[in-house]
Amino acid sequence: MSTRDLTAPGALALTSDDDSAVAEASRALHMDEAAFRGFYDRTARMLWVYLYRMLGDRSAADDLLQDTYSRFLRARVAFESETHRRRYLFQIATNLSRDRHRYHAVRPSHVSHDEVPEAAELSVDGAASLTSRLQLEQALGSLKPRERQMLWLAYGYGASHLEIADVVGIRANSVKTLLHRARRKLAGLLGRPEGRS
Amino acid sequence: MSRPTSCPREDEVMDVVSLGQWPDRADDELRRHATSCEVCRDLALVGVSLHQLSDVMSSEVRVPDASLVWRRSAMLARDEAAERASAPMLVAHVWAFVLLAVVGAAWLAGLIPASVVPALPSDQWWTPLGERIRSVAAVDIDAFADRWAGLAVVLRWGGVGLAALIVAAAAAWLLVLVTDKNEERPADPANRPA
Repeated sequence: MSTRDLTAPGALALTSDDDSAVAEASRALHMDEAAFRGFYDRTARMLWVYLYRMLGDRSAADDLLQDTYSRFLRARVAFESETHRRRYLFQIATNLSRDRHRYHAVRPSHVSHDEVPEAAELSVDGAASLTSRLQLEQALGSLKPRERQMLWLAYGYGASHLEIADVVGIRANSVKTLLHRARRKLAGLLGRPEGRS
Repeated sequence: MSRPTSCPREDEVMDVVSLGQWPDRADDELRRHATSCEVCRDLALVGVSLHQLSDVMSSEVRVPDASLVWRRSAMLARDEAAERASAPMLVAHVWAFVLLAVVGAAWLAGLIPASVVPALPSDQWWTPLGERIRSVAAVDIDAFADRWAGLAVVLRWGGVGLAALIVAAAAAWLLVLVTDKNEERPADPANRPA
C-alpha cells in the first residue's frame, strides 16, 4: 500500500518562515506547542483514519486533518480533560466531513484495489471466517455515513455510547438501537457465520 | 417473533474484542454463546473486523509533523486576530464615507440653481435645515453673480460636478469595502462543534 507522504516538502503551504511571527501568532492558540505535540501524536493517526473512513478519499482526509487541528487549536474552549479534548476534536472532524459530504457531494469510501494491501487479511472469528480487507472496505463503503461513523467510533476506537452521541450529534438513548442496526447490517454484508441455534 | 436487539452478555464479548483477544483468549462458554446468539455473533464479527482494520490503518498512515500543523494554525490565528482588529476601522470608514456623501449631497443641493430644482414642500420638518444648507452653500457664488456672471455659472456647475463626483466616489468606495469584506469571509458552516 502506498501511503501518502504528508511530510514531504511543500505538502503544507506555510505563509511565512518567520519563527518570531509564529511565536507571536501562537499566543492566540489555547495550547503551547509541546502540549499540542503530545496530543497530536496521540490522536493524529486515529483521526486521519476516522476522516478517511468518513470521506473515502485520502487527499480529503489529509486536508481535513489539518483543518480539524487548526480549528481545534483556535477554539476558545476551556477543556476539562484529555477525553474532553478528544471528543471535541472528533466533533470538529465529524462536522467538517459532514459538510464536505453535503457541499461537495463526495462519494464515501470508494475503494480501489491499489489502496488495499494484499497481505492485510483480517482474521475474524478464528478459522470460521476470513474476511479480506477489501471485502470489509467495500461493506463499509455501502453503509450510510452515520452508520459508518457510529460503528467506527464504537469498535474502531472503543468509544462509549455517550461519546458517540456527542460526536455524531444524536441522543444518547438512540445510540444503542442505531448501533445495533448498523452492526447487523454490516455483519450481513460481511456474510455472518451461521450459528448453531 | 421479533429479533433480539440486545443480549446481557454483549459487554463480556465487547471486553474481549476490544482487547484484541477474540476468539483465541475468550472463555469457551462465551464463545459457544456467541455462536448461538445472533447479537453477540454480529458483535464479535463486526467488532473484531473494525478493531483490526483500525489497528492496521493507524500503523500505515503517515501524518504531517505536529510542528507544521502548529505553525499553520498559528498563522491562521494571527490572520483572524488581524481581521478582528480591523473591524473598528471598517466601521470608521463606513461612517466617514456616509458623512462625505451627506456633505456632498448638501453641497450639491446648495449649488444647483433654484430654477432647476422642483419646488419642495415648505411645511416639512426638514425645510428649515434645507434652506439653511442652501443659503450657506449658495451665498458666496451669488455674491459674484452680478459682476462675474460667466464665472459664477462655471463655478456653480463645476461645483455641482465636483459634489456629484464626491457622492459617487463615496458610494463606490463603500461598495468596494463591503465587497472586499464579503470575499475575505466566505460562508463557512463547518466550524460548529459542541
